[in-house]
Amino acid sequence: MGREAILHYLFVNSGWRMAAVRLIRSLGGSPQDAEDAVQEAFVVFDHHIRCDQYKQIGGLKSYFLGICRGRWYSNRRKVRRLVFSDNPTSHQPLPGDDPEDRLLESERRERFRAVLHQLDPRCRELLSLIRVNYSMKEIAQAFNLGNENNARQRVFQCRQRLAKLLKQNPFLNEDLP
Amino acid sequence: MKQDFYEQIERYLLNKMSPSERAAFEEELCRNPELAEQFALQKREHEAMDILVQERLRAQLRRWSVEHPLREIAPWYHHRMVLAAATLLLLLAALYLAWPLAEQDREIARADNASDRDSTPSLTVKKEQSPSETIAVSPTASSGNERYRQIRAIARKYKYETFSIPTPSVLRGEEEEESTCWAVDSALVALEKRQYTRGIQLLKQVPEEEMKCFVEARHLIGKAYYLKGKYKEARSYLEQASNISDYWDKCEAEWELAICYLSSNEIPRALRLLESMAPDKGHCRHKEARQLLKDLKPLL
Repeated sequence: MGREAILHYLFVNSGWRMAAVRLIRSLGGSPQDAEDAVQEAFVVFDHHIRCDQYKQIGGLKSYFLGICRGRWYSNRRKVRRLVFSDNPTSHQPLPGDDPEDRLLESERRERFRAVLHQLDPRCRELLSLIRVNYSMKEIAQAFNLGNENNARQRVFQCRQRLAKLLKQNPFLNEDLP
Repeated sequence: MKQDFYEQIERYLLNKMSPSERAAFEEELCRNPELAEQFALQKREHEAMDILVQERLRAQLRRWSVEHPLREIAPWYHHRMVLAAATLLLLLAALYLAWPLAEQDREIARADNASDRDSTPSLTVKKEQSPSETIAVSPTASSGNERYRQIRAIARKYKYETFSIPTPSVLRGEEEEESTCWAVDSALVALEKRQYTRGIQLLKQVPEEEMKCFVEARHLIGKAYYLKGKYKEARSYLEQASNISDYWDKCEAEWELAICYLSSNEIPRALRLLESMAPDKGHCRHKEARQLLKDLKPLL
Protein backbone atom coordinates (compact mmCIF):
# COMPACT_ATOMS: atom_id res chain seq x y z
CA MET A 1 0.00 0.00 0.00
CA GLY A 2 1.08 3.59 -0.63
CA ARG A 3 1.92 4.73 2.88
CA GLU A 4 3.69 1.52 3.84
CA ALA A 5 5.64 1.47 0.60
CA ILE A 6 6.83 5.03 1.21
CA LEU A 7 7.79 4.30 4.81
CA HIS A 8 9.57 1.13 3.73
CA TYR A 9 11.47 3.05 1.08
CA LEU A 10 12.41 5.81 3.53
CA PHE A 11 13.53 3.37 6.19
CA VAL A 12 15.27 0.75 4.07
CA ASN A 13 16.38 2.26 0.77
CA SER A 14 16.60 6.03 1.06
CA GLY A 15 19.80 6.10 3.11
CA TRP A 16 18.12 8.22 5.80
CA ARG A 17 18.53 5.49 8.38
CA MET A 18 22.25 5.20 7.75
CA ALA A 19 22.68 8.98 7.80
CA ALA A 20 20.78 9.15 11.08
CA VAL A 21 22.81 6.32 12.64
CA ARG A 22 26.02 8.06 11.58
CA LEU A 23 24.77 11.31 13.07
CA ILE A 24 23.99 9.71 16.40
CA ARG A 25 27.26 7.79 16.40
CA SER A 26 29.03 11.07 15.79
CA LEU A 27 27.23 12.49 18.83
CA GLY A 28 28.64 9.67 20.92
CA GLY A 29 25.85 7.09 20.76
CA SER A 30 26.39 3.35 20.56
CA PRO A 31 25.03 1.43 17.50
CA GLN A 32 22.08 0.20 19.57
CA ASP A 33 21.33 3.71 20.90
CA ALA A 34 21.44 4.97 17.34
CA GLU A 35 19.06 2.31 16.02
CA ASP A 36 16.59 2.93 18.86
CA ALA A 37 16.66 6.69 18.38
CA VAL A 38 16.21 6.33 14.62
CA GLN A 39 13.15 4.10 15.03
CA GLU A 40 11.63 6.52 17.54
CA ALA A 41 12.40 9.39 15.21
CA PHE A 42 10.59 7.61 12.35
CA VAL A 43 7.49 7.29 14.51
CA VAL A 44 7.65 10.99 15.44
CA PHE A 45 8.35 11.98 11.83
CA ASP A 46 5.33 9.99 10.63
CA HIS A 47 3.15 11.65 13.28
CA HIS A 48 4.37 15.14 12.33
CA ILE A 49 3.67 14.56 8.65
CA ARG A 50 0.21 13.16 9.33
CA CYS A 51 -0.68 15.99 11.71
CA ASP A 52 0.58 18.60 9.30
CA GLN A 53 3.33 19.77 11.64
CA TYR A 54 5.99 19.76 8.94
CA LYS A 55 6.13 23.34 7.65
CA GLN A 56 8.28 22.56 4.60
CA ILE A 57 11.14 24.69 5.87
CA GLY A 58 14.28 22.91 4.69
CA GLY A 59 14.43 19.45 3.21
CA LEU A 60 12.50 16.47 4.48
CA LYS A 61 15.70 14.59 5.22
CA SER A 62 17.09 17.48 7.26
CA TYR A 63 13.81 17.61 9.12
CA PHE A 64 14.07 13.90 9.87
CA LEU A 65 17.69 14.21 11.01
CA GLY A 66 16.66 17.08 13.25
CA ILE A 67 14.08 14.83 14.88
CA CYS A 68 16.73 12.12 15.31
CA ARG A 69 19.06 14.57 17.00
CA GLY A 70 16.22 15.65 19.29
CA ARG A 71 15.32 12.04 20.14
CA TRP A 72 18.93 11.25 20.88
CA TYR A 73 19.35 14.18 23.27
CA SER A 74 16.03 13.33 24.88
CA ASN A 75 17.03 9.67 25.37
CA ARG A 76 20.37 10.73 26.75
CA ARG A 77 18.73 12.99 29.29
CA LYS A 78 16.56 10.07 30.38
CA VAL A 79 19.63 7.90 30.90
CA ARG A 80 21.50 10.66 32.71
CA ARG A 81 18.76 11.03 35.23
CA LEU A 82 19.46 7.54 36.45
CA VAL A 83 23.09 8.37 37.15
CA PHE A 84 23.57 9.40 40.76
CA SER A 85 25.93 12.23 41.28
CA ASP A 86 27.18 14.39 44.15
CA ASN A 87 27.12 17.37 41.89
CA PRO A 88 23.94 19.33 42.79
CA THR A 89 23.79 21.09 39.39
CA SER A 90 23.20 17.79 37.63
CA HIS A 91 19.86 17.48 39.46
CA GLN A 92 18.52 20.75 38.07
CA PRO A 93 15.71 19.91 35.61
CA LEU A 94 15.86 21.52 32.20
CA PRO A 95 12.94 23.78 31.24
CA GLY A 96 10.03 21.65 30.02
CA ASP A 97 11.82 18.54 31.11
CA ASP A 98 10.27 17.86 34.46
CA PRO A 99 10.99 14.25 35.42
CA GLU A 100 7.65 13.97 37.19
CA ASP A 101 5.75 14.96 34.02
CA ARG A 102 7.71 12.47 32.00
CA LEU A 103 7.01 9.71 34.46
CA LEU A 104 3.28 10.49 34.42
CA GLU A 105 3.23 10.60 30.64
CA SER A 106 5.00 7.30 30.44
CA GLU A 107 2.61 5.67 32.94
CA ARG A 108 -0.46 7.04 31.13
CA ARG A 109 0.75 5.72 27.82
CA GLU A 110 1.35 2.33 29.35
CA ARG A 111 -2.22 2.28 30.67
CA PHE A 112 -3.52 3.26 27.25
CA ARG A 113 -1.57 0.45 25.68
CA ALA A 114 -2.90 -2.03 28.21
CA VAL A 115 -6.46 -0.94 27.52
CA LEU A 116 -5.99 -1.04 23.78
CA HIS A 117 -4.70 -4.58 23.99
CA GLN A 118 -8.15 -5.59 25.19
CA LEU A 119 -9.35 -4.91 21.65
CA ASP A 120 -9.01 -7.78 19.20
CA PRO A 121 -5.98 -7.50 16.89
CA ARG A 122 -8.09 -7.00 13.75
CA CYS A 123 -9.84 -4.01 15.35
CA ARG A 124 -6.53 -2.55 16.45
CA GLU A 125 -5.17 -2.92 12.93
CA LEU A 126 -8.31 -1.48 11.37
CA LEU A 127 -8.42 1.54 13.70
CA SER A 128 -4.76 2.29 13.10
CA LEU A 129 -5.41 2.28 9.34
CA ILE A 130 -8.44 4.56 9.71
CA ARG A 131 -6.29 6.95 11.70
CA VAL A 132 -3.78 7.20 8.84
CA ASN A 133 -6.61 8.11 6.42
CA TYR A 134 -7.09 4.82 4.63
CA SER A 135 -10.29 4.94 2.60
CA MET A 136 -13.12 2.51 3.20
CA LYS A 137 -12.34 0.93 -0.16
CA GLU A 138 -8.73 0.28 0.88
CA ILE A 139 -9.86 -1.11 4.22
CA ALA A 140 -12.35 -3.39 2.49
CA GLN A 141 -9.51 -4.72 0.31
CA ALA A 142 -7.03 -5.09 3.16
CA PHE A 143 -9.47 -6.98 5.41
CA ASN A 144 -11.35 -8.88 2.69
CA LEU A 145 -14.60 -7.22 3.68
CA GLY A 146 -16.13 -7.24 0.20
CA ASN A 147 -17.35 -3.67 -0.16
CA GLU A 148 -17.08 -0.22 1.37
CA ASN A 149 -20.34 -0.54 3.32
CA ASN A 150 -19.07 -3.62 5.11
CA ALA A 151 -15.84 -1.79 5.87
CA ARG A 152 -17.76 1.23 7.21
CA GLN A 153 -19.86 -1.05 9.44
CA ARG A 154 -16.78 -2.83 10.74
CA VAL A 155 -15.05 0.47 11.51
CA PHE A 156 -18.14 1.67 13.36
CA GLN A 157 -18.21 -1.52 15.47
CA CYS A 158 -14.55 -1.18 16.35
CA ARG A 159 -14.91 2.44 17.32
CA GLN A 160 -17.85 1.55 19.52
CA ARG A 161 -15.79 -1.10 21.25
CA LEU A 162 -12.97 1.38 21.75
CA ALA A 163 -15.37 4.00 23.13
CA LYS A 164 -16.80 1.43 25.52
CA LEU A 165 -13.33 0.52 26.76
CA LEU A 166 -12.39 4.15 27.26
CA LYS A 167 -15.60 4.79 29.20
CA GLN A 168 -14.80 1.81 31.42
CA ASN A 169 -11.39 3.32 32.21
CA PRO A 170 -12.06 6.88 33.40
CA PHE A 171 -8.45 7.37 34.53
CA LEU A 172 -7.61 7.72 30.87
CA ASN A 173 -9.66 10.90 30.69
CA GLU A 174 -6.75 13.01 31.82
CA ASP A 175 -5.04 14.87 28.98
CA LEU A 176 -1.91 13.40 27.51
CA PRO A 177 0.93 15.89 27.65
CA MET B 1 -28.29 14.80 17.80
CA LYS B 2 -25.40 12.64 18.97
CA GLN B 3 -24.67 11.63 15.38
CA ASP B 4 -24.48 15.34 14.47
CA PHE B 5 -22.01 15.85 17.28
CA TYR B 6 -20.01 12.87 16.13
CA GLU B 7 -19.53 14.23 12.59
CA GLN B 8 -18.76 17.73 13.86
CA ILE B 9 -16.24 16.51 16.40
CA GLU B 10 -14.56 14.29 13.78
CA ARG B 11 -14.24 17.25 11.41
CA TYR B 12 -12.83 19.38 14.23
CA LEU B 13 -10.32 16.72 15.37
CA LEU B 14 -9.24 15.99 11.81
CA ASN B 15 -8.71 19.72 11.20
CA LYS B 16 -11.23 19.86 8.41
CA MET B 17 -13.14 22.93 9.64
CA SER B 18 -12.69 26.47 8.32
CA PRO B 19 -11.40 29.00 10.90
CA SER B 20 -14.84 30.56 11.38
CA GLU B 21 -16.50 27.16 11.72
CA ARG B 22 -13.82 26.15 14.17
CA ALA B 23 -14.35 29.24 16.32
CA ALA B 24 -18.10 28.65 16.37
CA PHE B 25 -17.58 25.02 17.37
CA GLU B 26 -15.26 25.98 20.22
CA GLU B 27 -17.87 28.47 21.51
CA GLU B 28 -20.53 25.75 21.38
CA LEU B 29 -18.16 23.39 23.17
CA CYS B 30 -17.96 25.80 26.11
CA ARG B 31 -21.74 26.23 26.26
CA ASN B 32 -22.92 22.65 25.68
CA PRO B 33 -21.86 20.07 28.31
CA GLU B 34 -23.28 17.17 26.29
CA LEU B 35 -21.09 18.15 23.35
CA ALA B 36 -18.12 18.59 25.67
CA GLU B 37 -18.60 15.09 27.08
CA GLN B 38 -18.87 13.57 23.61
CA PHE B 39 -15.86 15.62 22.47
CA ALA B 40 -13.68 14.37 25.35
CA LEU B 41 -14.54 10.78 24.52
CA GLN B 42 -13.85 11.16 20.81
CA LYS B 43 -10.60 12.96 21.54
CA ARG B 44 -9.53 9.97 23.64
CA GLU B 45 -10.48 7.68 20.78
CA HIS B 46 -8.23 9.64 18.46
CA GLU B 47 -5.39 9.54 20.96
CA ALA B 48 -5.90 5.82 21.36
CA MET B 49 -5.88 5.35 17.60
CA ASP B 50 -2.69 7.43 17.42
CA ILE B 51 -1.09 5.09 19.88
CA LEU B 52 -2.25 2.15 17.75
CA VAL B 53 -0.69 3.73 14.66
CA GLN B 54 2.57 4.25 16.50
CA GLU B 55 2.56 0.72 17.86
CA ARG B 56 1.95 -0.66 14.41
CA LEU B 57 4.70 1.47 12.90
CA ARG B 58 7.13 0.48 15.65
CA ALA B 59 6.42 -3.18 14.97
CA GLN B 60 6.98 -2.61 11.24
CA LEU B 61 10.24 -0.75 11.87
CA ARG B 62 11.48 -3.52 14.13
CA ARG B 63 10.63 -6.09 11.46
CA TRP B 64 12.32 -4.06 8.70
CA SER B 65 15.42 -3.47 10.76
CA VAL B 66 15.74 -7.22 11.33
CA GLU B 67 15.12 -7.96 7.64
CA HIS B 68 17.53 -5.22 6.51
CA PRO B 69 20.21 -4.91 9.17
CA LEU B 70 22.52 -1.96 8.88
CA ARG B 71 26.05 -2.91 8.17
CA GLU B 72 28.35 -1.05 10.47
CA ILE B 73 30.41 1.18 8.27
CA ALA B 74 33.95 1.35 9.48
CA PRO B 75 35.72 4.69 9.41
CA TRP B 76 37.69 5.31 6.22
CA TYR B 77 40.98 4.47 7.89
CA HIS B 78 39.72 0.93 8.63
CA HIS B 79 39.29 0.14 4.94
CA ARG B 80 42.12 -2.00 3.72
CA MET B 81 41.63 -0.94 0.14
CA VAL B 82 41.90 2.72 1.01
CA LEU B 83 45.04 2.07 3.00
CA ALA B 84 46.55 0.04 0.19
CA ALA B 85 45.73 2.73 -2.36
CA ALA B 86 47.19 5.44 -0.14
CA THR B 87 50.38 3.44 0.37
CA LEU B 88 50.67 2.84 -3.34
CA LEU B 89 50.20 6.54 -4.05
CA LEU B 90 52.87 7.44 -1.53
CA LEU B 91 55.25 4.93 -3.05
CA LEU B 92 54.61 6.28 -6.53
CA ALA B 93 55.16 9.82 -5.33
CA ALA B 94 58.40 8.84 -3.62
CA LEU B 95 59.51 7.02 -6.76
CA TYR B 96 58.66 10.02 -8.91
CA LEU B 97 60.64 12.33 -6.67
CA ALA B 98 63.60 9.99 -6.42
CA TRP B 99 63.66 9.24 -10.16
CA PRO B 100 66.11 11.97 -11.25
CA LEU B 101 68.61 10.86 -8.59
CA ALA B 102 68.26 7.23 -9.64
CA GLU B 103 68.67 8.27 -13.28
CA GLN B 104 71.92 10.00 -12.43
CA ASP B 105 73.19 6.98 -10.55
CA ARG B 106 72.28 4.71 -13.44
CA GLU B 107 74.08 6.93 -15.91
CA ILE B 108 77.18 6.89 -13.78
CA ALA B 109 76.98 3.15 -13.36
CA ARG B 110 76.45 2.65 -17.10
CA ALA B 111 79.39 4.86 -17.91
CA ASP B 112 81.48 2.82 -15.53
CA ASN B 113 80.44 -0.60 -16.65
CA ALA B 114 79.61 -0.43 -20.31
CA SER B 115 83.08 0.52 -21.42
CA ASP B 116 84.68 -2.49 -19.89
CA ARG B 117 82.80 -5.21 -18.11
CA ASP B 118 85.82 -7.34 -17.46
CA SER B 119 88.09 -4.94 -15.64
CA THR B 120 87.73 -3.03 -12.43
CA PRO B 121 86.00 0.31 -13.07
CA SER B 122 88.14 3.38 -12.63
CA LEU B 123 86.38 6.71 -12.51
CA THR B 124 89.21 9.15 -12.06
CA VAL B 125 92.29 8.66 -14.08
CA LYS B 126 94.24 11.84 -14.40
CA LYS B 127 95.27 12.77 -17.86
CA GLU B 128 98.61 14.02 -16.48
CA GLN B 129 99.45 10.52 -15.24
CA SER B 130 101.73 8.63 -17.59
CA PRO B 131 99.53 5.77 -18.76
CA SER B 132 102.49 3.71 -19.79
CA GLU B 133 103.54 3.42 -16.17
CA THR B 134 100.28 1.81 -15.15
CA ILE B 135 99.59 -0.41 -18.09
CA ALA B 136 101.01 -3.85 -18.10
CA VAL B 137 100.51 -5.43 -21.46
CA SER B 138 100.46 -9.16 -21.36
CA PRO B 139 103.16 -10.52 -23.68
CA THR B 140 101.23 -13.71 -24.06
CA ALA B 141 98.15 -12.05 -25.45
CA SER B 142 97.51 -14.18 -28.46
CA SER B 143 93.84 -14.23 -29.23
CA GLY B 144 92.01 -11.32 -30.89
CA ASN B 145 89.62 -10.97 -28.00
CA GLU B 146 92.38 -10.74 -25.48
CA ARG B 147 94.16 -8.16 -27.57
CA TYR B 148 91.01 -6.13 -27.97
CA ARG B 149 90.42 -6.21 -24.26
CA GLN B 150 93.88 -4.93 -23.60
CA ILE B 151 93.46 -2.15 -26.15
CA ARG B 152 90.23 -1.12 -24.54
CA ALA B 153 91.91 -1.13 -21.15
CA ILE B 154 94.55 1.20 -22.51
CA ALA B 155 91.90 3.44 -24.09
CA ARG B 156 90.05 3.57 -20.81
CA LYS B 157 93.16 4.79 -19.08
CA TYR B 158 93.28 7.72 -21.44
CA LYS B 159 89.63 8.45 -21.22
CA TYR B 160 88.71 11.29 -18.90
CA GLU B 161 85.64 10.81 -16.81
CA THR B 162 84.91 14.26 -15.48
CA PHE B 163 83.12 16.86 -17.48
CA SER B 164 84.56 20.35 -17.22
CA ILE B 165 85.11 22.75 -20.06
CA PRO B 166 85.38 26.53 -20.29
CA THR B 167 82.16 28.55 -20.25
CA PRO B 168 81.03 28.16 -23.82
CA SER B 169 79.20 31.48 -24.11
CA VAL B 170 82.53 33.26 -23.53
CA LEU B 171 84.16 31.23 -26.25
CA ARG B 172 81.32 31.63 -28.66
CA GLY B 173 81.09 35.38 -28.13
CA GLU B 174 78.37 37.48 -26.59
CA GLU B 175 76.70 38.30 -29.92
CA GLU B 176 74.94 34.93 -29.79
CA GLU B 177 73.27 35.48 -26.47
CA GLU B 178 69.86 35.76 -28.06
CA SER B 179 70.24 32.54 -30.03
CA THR B 180 69.23 29.02 -29.03
CA CYS B 181 72.67 28.50 -27.49
CA TRP B 182 70.90 28.71 -24.14
CA ALA B 183 70.06 25.07 -24.72
CA VAL B 184 73.77 24.27 -24.93
CA ASP B 185 74.46 26.19 -21.75
CA SER B 186 71.66 24.38 -19.94
CA ALA B 187 72.92 21.07 -21.30
CA LEU B 188 76.41 21.81 -20.01
CA VAL B 189 75.03 22.37 -16.54
CA ALA B 190 73.22 19.01 -16.78
CA LEU B 191 76.31 17.23 -18.14
CA GLU B 192 78.48 18.61 -15.37
CA LYS B 193 76.01 17.12 -12.94
CA ARG B 194 76.34 13.84 -14.87
CA GLN B 195 72.73 14.05 -16.03
CA TYR B 196 73.69 12.80 -19.46
CA THR B 197 70.23 11.83 -20.69
CA ARG B 198 68.81 15.24 -19.87
CA GLY B 199 71.85 16.90 -21.41
CA ILE B 200 71.44 14.94 -24.62
CA GLN B 201 67.73 15.82 -24.77
CA LEU B 202 68.51 19.53 -24.48
CA LEU B 203 71.29 19.37 -27.05
CA LYS B 204 69.10 17.64 -29.60
CA GLN B 205 66.80 20.70 -29.52
CA VAL B 206 69.47 22.93 -31.09
CA PRO B 207 68.47 23.57 -34.74
CA GLU B 208 70.90 23.19 -37.61
CA GLU B 209 70.54 26.87 -38.54
CA GLU B 210 72.42 27.89 -35.41
CA MET B 211 75.64 26.72 -36.97
CA LYS B 212 78.18 27.32 -34.18
CA CYS B 213 75.84 26.12 -31.49
CA PHE B 214 74.79 23.21 -33.61
CA VAL B 215 78.36 21.93 -34.11
CA GLU B 216 79.08 22.39 -30.45
CA ALA B 217 75.83 20.63 -29.59
CA ARG B 218 76.76 17.70 -31.85
CA HIS B 219 80.16 17.53 -30.19
CA LEU B 220 78.62 17.62 -26.73
CA ILE B 221 76.12 14.91 -27.62
CA GLY B 222 79.04 12.77 -28.76
CA LYS B 223 80.92 13.62 -25.59
CA ALA B 224 77.88 12.70 -23.45
CA TYR B 225 77.56 9.32 -25.19
CA TYR B 226 81.33 8.90 -24.87
CA LEU B 227 81.12 9.50 -21.12
CA LYS B 228 78.18 7.12 -20.89
CA GLY B 229 80.30 4.48 -22.60
CA LYS B 230 78.07 4.35 -25.68
CA TYR B 231 80.91 4.61 -28.19
CA LYS B 232 78.96 3.61 -31.25
CA GLU B 233 76.40 6.37 -30.68
CA ALA B 234 79.13 8.82 -29.78
CA ARG B 235 81.14 8.15 -32.95
CA SER B 236 78.84 9.76 -35.52
CA TYR B 237 78.43 12.95 -33.46
CA LEU B 238 82.15 13.25 -32.81
CA GLU B 239 82.93 12.64 -36.49
CA GLN B 240 80.62 15.52 -37.41
CA ALA B 241 82.39 17.86 -34.95
CA SER B 242 85.90 16.82 -35.93
CA ASN B 243 85.17 17.29 -39.65
CA ILE B 244 84.37 21.00 -39.19
CA SER B 245 87.70 22.72 -39.81
CA ASP B 246 86.98 25.97 -37.94
CA TYR B 247 85.35 24.41 -34.89
CA TRP B 248 87.08 25.74 -31.80
CA ASP B 249 87.14 22.42 -29.97
CA LYS B 250 87.96 20.26 -33.00
CA CYS B 251 91.14 18.82 -31.43
CA GLU B 252 89.21 17.59 -28.39
CA ALA B 253 86.55 16.02 -30.62
CA GLU B 254 89.30 14.19 -32.55
CA TRP B 255 90.87 12.85 -29.39
CA GLU B 256 87.56 11.60 -28.08
CA LEU B 257 86.84 10.08 -31.47
CA ALA B 258 90.14 8.20 -31.36
CA ILE B 259 89.29 6.77 -27.95
CA CYS B 260 85.85 5.80 -29.27
CA TYR B 261 87.42 3.97 -32.22
CA LEU B 262 89.76 2.10 -29.91
CA SER B 263 86.95 1.21 -27.52
CA SER B 264 84.75 -0.07 -30.34
CA ASN B 265 87.55 -2.16 -31.88
CA GLU B 266 88.13 0.02 -34.92
CA ILE B 267 91.88 -0.04 -34.49
CA PRO B 268 93.02 1.10 -38.00
CA ARG B 269 90.81 4.18 -37.88
CA ALA B 270 92.01 5.00 -34.39
CA LEU B 271 95.64 4.62 -35.43
CA ARG B 272 95.19 6.83 -38.52
CA LEU B 273 93.66 9.54 -36.38
CA LEU B 274 96.26 9.29 -33.63
CA GLU B 275 99.09 9.32 -36.17
CA SER B 276 97.71 12.50 -37.66
CA MET B 277 97.50 14.12 -34.23
CA ALA B 278 100.84 13.03 -32.75
CA PRO B 279 103.25 15.00 -35.00
CA ASP B 280 101.13 18.17 -34.92
CA LYS B 281 102.58 20.18 -32.04
CA GLY B 282 99.75 22.68 -32.28
CA HIS B 283 97.22 19.98 -31.55
CA CYS B 284 95.85 20.15 -28.01
CA ARG B 285 96.27 16.41 -27.57
CA HIS B 286 99.46 15.67 -29.49
CA LYS B 287 101.36 14.53 -26.38
CA GLU B 288 98.63 12.13 -25.32
CA ALA B 289 98.34 10.84 -28.89
CA ARG B 290 102.06 10.12 -29.02
CA GLN B 291 102.00 8.37 -25.67
CA LEU B 292 98.97 6.32 -26.61
CA LEU B 293 100.61 5.18 -29.83
CA LYS B 294 103.62 4.06 -27.83
CA ASP B 295 101.39 2.11 -25.42
CA LEU B 296 99.58 0.44 -28.24
CA LYS B 297 102.68 -0.55 -30.14
CA PRO B 298 103.28 -3.87 -28.35
CA LEU B 299 99.78 -4.98 -29.19
CA LEU B 300 99.81 -4.19 -32.87
